[in-house]
Formats: sequence, C-alpha cells, structure tokens
Amino acid sequence: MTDATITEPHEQGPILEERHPTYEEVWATPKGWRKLSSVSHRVVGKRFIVTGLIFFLIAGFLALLVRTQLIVPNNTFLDAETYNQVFTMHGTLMMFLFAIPILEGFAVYLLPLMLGARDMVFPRLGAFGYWCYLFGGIIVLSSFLFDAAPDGGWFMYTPLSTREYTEGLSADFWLIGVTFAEIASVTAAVEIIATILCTRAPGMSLTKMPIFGWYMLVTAFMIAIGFPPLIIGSLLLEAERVIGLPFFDPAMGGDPLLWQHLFWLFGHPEVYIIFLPAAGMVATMLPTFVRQPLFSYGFVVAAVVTMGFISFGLWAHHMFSTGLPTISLSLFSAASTVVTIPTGVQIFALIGTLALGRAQLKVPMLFILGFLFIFVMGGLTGVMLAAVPFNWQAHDSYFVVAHLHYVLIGGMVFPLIGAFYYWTPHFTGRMMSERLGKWAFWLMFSGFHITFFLMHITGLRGMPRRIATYPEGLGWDRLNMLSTLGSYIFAAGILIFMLDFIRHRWTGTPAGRDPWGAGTLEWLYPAVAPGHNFHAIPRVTSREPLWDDPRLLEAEAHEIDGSLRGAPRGRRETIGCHPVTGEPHQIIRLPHPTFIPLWAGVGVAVAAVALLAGAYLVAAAAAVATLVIFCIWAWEPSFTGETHNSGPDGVLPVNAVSRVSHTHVAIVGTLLIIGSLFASLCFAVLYLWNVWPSFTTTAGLADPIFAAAAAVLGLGLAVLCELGKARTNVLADMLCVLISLGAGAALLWSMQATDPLASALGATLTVTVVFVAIHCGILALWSAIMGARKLAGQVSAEQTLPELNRATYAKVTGAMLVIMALLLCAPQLGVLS
Amino acid sequence: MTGDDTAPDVSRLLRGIARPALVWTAHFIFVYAALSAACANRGFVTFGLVDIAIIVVTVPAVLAAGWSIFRPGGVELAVAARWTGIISVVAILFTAAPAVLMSSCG
Repeated sequence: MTDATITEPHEQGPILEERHPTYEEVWATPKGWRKLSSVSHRVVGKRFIVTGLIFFLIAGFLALLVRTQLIVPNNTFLDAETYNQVFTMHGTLMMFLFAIPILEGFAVYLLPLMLGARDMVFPRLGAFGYWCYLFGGIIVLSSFLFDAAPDGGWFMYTPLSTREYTEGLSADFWLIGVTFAEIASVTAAVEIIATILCTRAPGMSLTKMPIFGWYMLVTAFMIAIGFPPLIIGSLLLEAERVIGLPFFDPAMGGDPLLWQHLFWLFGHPEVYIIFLPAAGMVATMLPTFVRQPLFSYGFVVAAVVTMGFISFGLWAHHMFSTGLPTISLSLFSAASTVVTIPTGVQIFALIGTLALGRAQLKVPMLFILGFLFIFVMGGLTGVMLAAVPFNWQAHDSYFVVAHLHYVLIGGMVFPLIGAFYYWTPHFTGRMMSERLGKWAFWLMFSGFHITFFLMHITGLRGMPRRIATYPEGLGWDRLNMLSTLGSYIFAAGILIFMLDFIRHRWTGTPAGRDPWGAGTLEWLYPAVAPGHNFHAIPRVTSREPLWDDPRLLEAEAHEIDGSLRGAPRGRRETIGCHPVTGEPHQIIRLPHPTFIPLWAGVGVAVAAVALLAGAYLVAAAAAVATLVIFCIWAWEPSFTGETHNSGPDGVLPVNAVSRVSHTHVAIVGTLLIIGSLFASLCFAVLYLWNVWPSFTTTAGLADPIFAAAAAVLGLGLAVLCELGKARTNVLADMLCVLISLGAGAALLWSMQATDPLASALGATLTVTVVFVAIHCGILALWSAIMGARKLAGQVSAEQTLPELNRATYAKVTGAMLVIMALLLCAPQLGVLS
Repeated sequence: MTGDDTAPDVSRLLRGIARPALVWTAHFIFVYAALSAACANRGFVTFGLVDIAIIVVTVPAVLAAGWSIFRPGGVELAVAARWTGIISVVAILFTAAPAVLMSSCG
C-alpha cells in the first residue's frame, strides 16, 4: 500500500513495508508493551499531549468545584480546608502539569515535521522527560489519596508553607512532585533548542524557518533561564522543612520574601512561556486560513525575542503590596508597561495578516479570533495592574483572578483547542467535526465571558480571592451566581470538544493530504501518520514550501527527492545542519527504542517517593541506581569518523566534531540551565546579605586559602580541558578526575567554620558551595567515563567530540569556582564585610 | 523576501537582533542591583551615587542598543534587528526613568 492510496485512514504505523522494508523496519514503533521503549518524537509528543489533556480535565473539574462552592453565599458544599486544597490543586495542575507540558508535547510532535527532521535530536532525553513529568504529576495528584493535598495556593508562599504552619506532607508533595515534573520542562528545553538549531532541512536558514520555530526557540531559552529559580526555591524550602536550614526564617536572618522573589522570577516569565508557543501556533495556523504568508515576519521575530528578554524584568509586579521601596515598584511598573510593546507588535502582525485576505471561518479560525479578542482584553487589564496605585486597590481580589484567566485561557487554551482541530488529522488521519467544533467554540466563548468578565466587577466590589464562602448582601451574590453558571457553560463547550475528540477517531471524515491547504512542511505526508518522517529530506527554499514548490505535493511524499534517502545502514539517521544557514554539515545518528529512559525515570521517582516517606536510605540507593543507569546510557559506541554519501548534499561526516554540532549546542543549553541555577543561588546569598546585615557575622568566615585553592584548581581544570580538547588522552582524563575532585573538596573544606543551621546566610552559602562541588563531581565522573571508554578500546583517535563538550563544561565549572571563591573571600578582602 | 542566507550575513543580523536585548538585560540588572544596594537595609551606597551611576550607564546602553536601529537593508532579519533595537531603547529608557525622576528610595 502506498501513502497515496490510503484505505484505512485511522491506521497508524508503517504503511510502506513492501517498498521500503529496511526503512520501515528501522523506524518502526515497537508493538504491545514494548511500545514503552519507544523514543520517537511522535510517540513521546502524543504522550505529553494526552497526559496534559487528562491533567487539564482534572484541573477543570476542580475549577467547577470551586465555582459550585461560590454559587451562593454561606455555601457548605465544601469545607474551608477542602476548598483550599481544591483551588491549590487547580492552579498547580493547570500551571505545572497542563499548560507547559501539553505545549511542549505539541512542539515535540510538530517541530521535526515542520523543520524537516526525522526525529528530535535527543529522543531518549525527551522520553526521560516525559516519564519524569508523568511520575511527578502522579506524585502531586496522589496527595489526595493520603488526605495530604497541598493547600497553600499554587505559589506556596512562605511562611505559610514552612513546617511551622503547614505540618504533614502536603507542602512536600507539592515541592517534590513539581520539582520532579520540572525536569521534563528543562530537558525538553535543551532538546528543543538543539533540534531547532541543528536538524533543519537542507537550505532552511533561520530566515526560512517557520515562525513556530522562532517562537519555540525563544520559549525554550526562556524555560532554560526561567525554571531554575523555582527549582532552587523549591529545594531550599524543602531543605528548610526537612533539615531545618533557615532560609526563610526572619529570626535567623532569612526572609519569606526571598521565596517570592525566586518564585516570581520563574512565575512571571512562565506566563510568557505559556503564551508564546500558543501564539506561535496561531501565527502558523492563521496564514493557512487567510491564504497569505504571515504579515511582517521580521516584526514578529523582533517582538518575540524582545518579549523573551523583557518578560524577565517584571517579576516583582506580583509583589507590589509586600512593602518594597517605592522606587522598586516604579522600576517594575515601568517594565510591566513596556512589555506591552512587543505584545502589541505581535497582535498587530496577526491583525495585519487577517487584513491580507478573506479568512475562511473554519473551527481553528474561530478559536484564533477568540484568542485575539480575549487576550487583548486580558492584556489591557494587565496594563491597569501594572499601575501601582490600581494594583494596590485590586490586589488579591477577583479582578486579578479575572485578568489572569483572560490572559491564560485567552492566550493559551483557545489557541490550543484551535490547534487540536487543526493538527488532529495528523494524529488520527481523520478530521474533527466542524459542526461540533462550532458548538464547542460558542459555548466556550460565551461561557468564558459570563464567568470571567463578571469577576472584574466582583473584584472591584471588593471580593478577595481564595475565600471559601462569603456573607450575603455585599453585592457579590448575583455576580457569583452568574459566574458559576458561566463556568458550567464553558465546561459544556470543553465536554463537546472532548466528545468530538474521542468520536472523530472512529467516525471522523478521512483527511486527505494537506487537508487545510497549509504551506508548512508538516503536511508534506498524507494525514495518516506513517510512524516516521521523511524517506528523503527535501531541500527547502522558502518558509511555505508546500505553497512555493508545487513539486512537493505533486509527487508521492515518499518519492520526493532529497538528502539521506532511506536507511541504507540500518540505522536511524537525520541531517544535521549549520545553526544559521541550514546547510547540511553532518549526519546525526539517532538512538533506537530503549527502556533506559523509563528506568532512569523510575529511579528518580523512587528517590522522590522515598524522600517523601522519610526513607532516606532508600532515596540514596535509588539516586545511586539512577546514576548507574545514566552511566549505562552514556556508555555507547561513538560514530564520529564515519563518512557517508547523503545524496544531493554530498559526503557528510557522522556526528561531526564541531562547535555547531548538536551535542555541543545541547551542552551550551545545559550550561544555561546550570548558570541560571547558580545565579539563583548567588541572588539568594546577596539578597540575604543585603537585607539582613546583622547576620553577616553569624554566617562565619570561609577559609580563604582553601577557597583560593579551589579557584586556582578550577582555572587549571578549564585550561587543561581546553588544551586537551583536540586529542584523546587517558592521562588527561585521569588528571581531570583528580583536579575536579580536588577543587570540589577544597571548596567544601573552606566552609568548615560555617554552621548552616545558625543563619540563613550561612545556609545559603553552604548550599551554593555544595552546588558547585556537585558540578566538580559531575566533571570528575564524566572524565572517568571518558577514560574508561578509552581503556576499553571504544574510542579512536579522531573521536574527540566528548573532549570538545567537556572543555566547554569545564570553563563554566571553573568560572563558578572562581565566582564562589570571590564571594567567600570578599569579607576578608573588606569588600562585602 | 528572505534575503541573503550566507553565514556571515545571517550571523551579523542575528547579532543585531540579540545585542539590543542583551544590552537591556545588562542595564536592567545594573539598575536593579544599584537600587537594591541603595534602598535595602544595608544601605551599601547612597541614593545620590546610584542616581548618577544609572544616568551614566544609561547613555552608552541606549547607544549600544540603538546601534541596530540604523542597520540598513530590507530583509526580514534586518527589520527584526531594527525593531529589536527600537523596543530595547524604549525599554532601557523606561528602566532608567524611576531613578532619574525620583529623588529618594521612597
């Protein structure tokens, strides 16, 4: 059967076994329970999407409980404690387990198809991320079973969330589960950065990249920088709860506001991390229905990039009522106002695109229009809240609840449902119903406004958020009644969407090839997913290749000319491109199905659950087991040095040794995350030092000799790795092991006079030192594995890619050691005494 | 129009896009750190000094970020570089404004 004569549109899996048996076999998804070993982006992407959808439904059900409780005054449907748990879990599930993962799922599924790659560049990492997300989500959700659901709000403010005010395990479930799930986000960020920059189709320069690629690239960088502050905050809070390190205890020089800073350093960019992929989907879908390319691509790129940066300068506008100096309020108010400029540029670009042609009012288009209408309203109330006096007035009222739902539901949920209608034929080969889709849209649109527009008025009439009930006669009764009825209408829209999503799988109209007449590459193949991507990777000459190159749709997809035809070596491979020009410069060899990511995820899950249960020995054993699994993961043959004919693009090396290779780009992405983690810790140190000067002496002084020794060893390590990056040398590996361990030990030893339990500053310094020492340990383990591989005869002389990557990692580790030494020695030098 | 896709040209344009945003980042961090140094309990430096420092730093920041505004060319990434420059300059001026307009931490 060829892909042009599809008779079973809903059938998944290989469809060309007879004509391309080797290719089909190489890319086949394992059957039955062995499908758990699949690392394909299609499988992993769909897992993210389906799991995210389930969390969305659970969180939506919790929202209905909240609204039902508030339908009338003095309601006793839920008691106060349960109400607190319900709204906390609603926010937690929506923000951490639905919004970001499901968008990442779409990105993982769509990006390779749009970019002309056969898979994401690190399929095992993506699979590992999914298992972390799933297990982390289960941990958070399982708190209901133990009657220990978190009840401190989705931002888990201190001191409410400290052991003193929240006994039991509820906050621990939140902290451990959410941190665990966040591993998925940061691993996906690295994978997305490397995939976008390194695996585009031949000729797809950054100027020819689909706009969704730009949106996801900026989003991935934002995740890499934005998530670490919360990871650090969560670890600090958990350490305070379990060990008693007093990071947030004012009596010990700690500060509850430190948590708010760390949380919102993550939390505000997160809003944009949620918005940008959804806006990218809109910017991809809209041109299809207008039949015109996106208006002002360059303006949009500028707006997306500047929004990615400026969104990090707004975090304290969530803290306007905490007593910050007026000048700080003004600073963050100004930044909050200025971010409307890149937002407005994007909105005007979308409106400009609409003006270019006559839009077809298909269901995805309705959701796009809904997005524009609702998100603009949410943006306008955002400008109102950026003004400090109004913010003080509306703070913690239902006005804020209305604003954030206008931004998040308008900016993310409406585009997402539109995206489901648009891309679902890719998943199943069938179209969802236009009729049901329109019902779903109008119910959601009308229900949304009835629910949330009225909340603006409720808030302005003074109703605070997070109250379990309210007395009658305050002017809130009728508004709450209507809001609750509106939420039921909104839920009915979601229900119809879900019914359609399930129904279409069997009775939807079969989708033909490129059913919407789109111009982007993901529609090159028929809508029946063949289980893999490009038989040959075509050269791309424009941003809408299916519009501009009619040959692509004239021929059968699997017969189109391109690079790397078939799988002649029986291996999964894709083209690796130059990050800027998109010209091929290597062949990237990809992994086959494996259970390793699943076992690694299970290892981390066991460690997390054991931590929750207080079984610290089990947790340590699980951590060691996970480390062993990672070592097995790393112990694989190197293919550097092979060269093969790719077809039209000539002979290319496999896994080239280059600074623009995918592994090096991934190392840089990983170092961004590590750098952000380290910067978050340094921020905490300097913040506490600045806010509570009287505790500086209590923290104790570090030993300057050992701190300086650590810095010198760090510099030596960086120099050694840099000089040795061009050749393989076991002796250099062993030297790296010794120097790394020496640097870490010296740094730890320098802190012997500091009691981390005596002051928050001492505790934060200790944690920062341990963080840097851990990276010394990672470098030592990495070097030991490299040496062992050479001793085992697995590495030939030209296979120096690990040396190149290690050199970059060592430079950052060395820099962290120097910064840490300077920070520790500063008091002795009279700088920060 | 997608413009010239040679590596040096696209790299130059990418730098033109990234530079203004990075300059805004550095300027914002400086302003935040300076205000924190002056206005937190420790009072590490005086507000007057911070005020002057912010004005002094803002001038080269505006020039560095604004450099991209005058980038010639009509290709999309050149347009992106110009607009990144314009937005970043406005953002830098907004960031500096509170320190310039206010005479104390408040």
